[in-house]
Amino acid sequence: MKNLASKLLTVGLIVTLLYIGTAAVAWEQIRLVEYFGYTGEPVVIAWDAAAGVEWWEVEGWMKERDAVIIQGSTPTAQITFTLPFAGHYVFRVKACNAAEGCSTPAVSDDPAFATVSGQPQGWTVYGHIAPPGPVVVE
Amino acid sequence: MAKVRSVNLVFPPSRSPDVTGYKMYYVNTGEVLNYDSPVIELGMPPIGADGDMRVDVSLTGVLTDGSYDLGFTSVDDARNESSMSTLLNVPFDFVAPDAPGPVRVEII
Repeated sequence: MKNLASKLLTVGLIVTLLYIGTAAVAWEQIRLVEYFGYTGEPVVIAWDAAAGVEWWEVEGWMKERDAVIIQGSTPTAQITFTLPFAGHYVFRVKACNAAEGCSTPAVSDDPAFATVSGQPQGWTVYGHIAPPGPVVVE
Repeated sequence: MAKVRSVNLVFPPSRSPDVTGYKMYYVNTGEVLNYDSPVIELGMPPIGADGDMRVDVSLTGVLTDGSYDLGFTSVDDARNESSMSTLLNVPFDFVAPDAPGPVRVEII
């Protein structure tokens, strides 16, 4: 049995995205689907699919290192990361298409964009270090 | 000189990729085991062919005879520390018995 302190979060991030000079690349919501808490374990983020979006770009910015640690893009409305280091991560998602480029990012820790359980609230993900496995005497 | 038997404590490594070392906390059985307990820095113990790490506690020079509660944690380079994997009520005996008495030759 994996010694995982798993928790299921249903966190909504309501966004209003504006693309400079043109109409918005329309999409409305991203949410953290499943987070297994430990570095090296998967974090799944999903969001509502939207018309006009050809791909999404996702970044994980790590607070303690003040750096983008995770980067990815996906044509589907979901992406899976593993957290390489222990610490706090803020996620940014952009909606993109070839004609218009990418939107400004929706940022997960900004309560102006994010919701938790339907209420405006920013959120971050904390990656813990996994403990060693069960110990036995030999 | 007496010979003390090795006692290995064996554990699978942390699954986290950023681990740089391990710690072993110890208290006498019945005392409170937590992050303020006495601790031994283990570094990165060698990994055997079975993928497990082994620590020979007889070599630490710290534990004496008695029963211990042990807690193992993993640590990263920023000194973040994991939760503990514990092993409770472990009896250790690191004192060799007395040698037999002087040996003599008896001619029958």
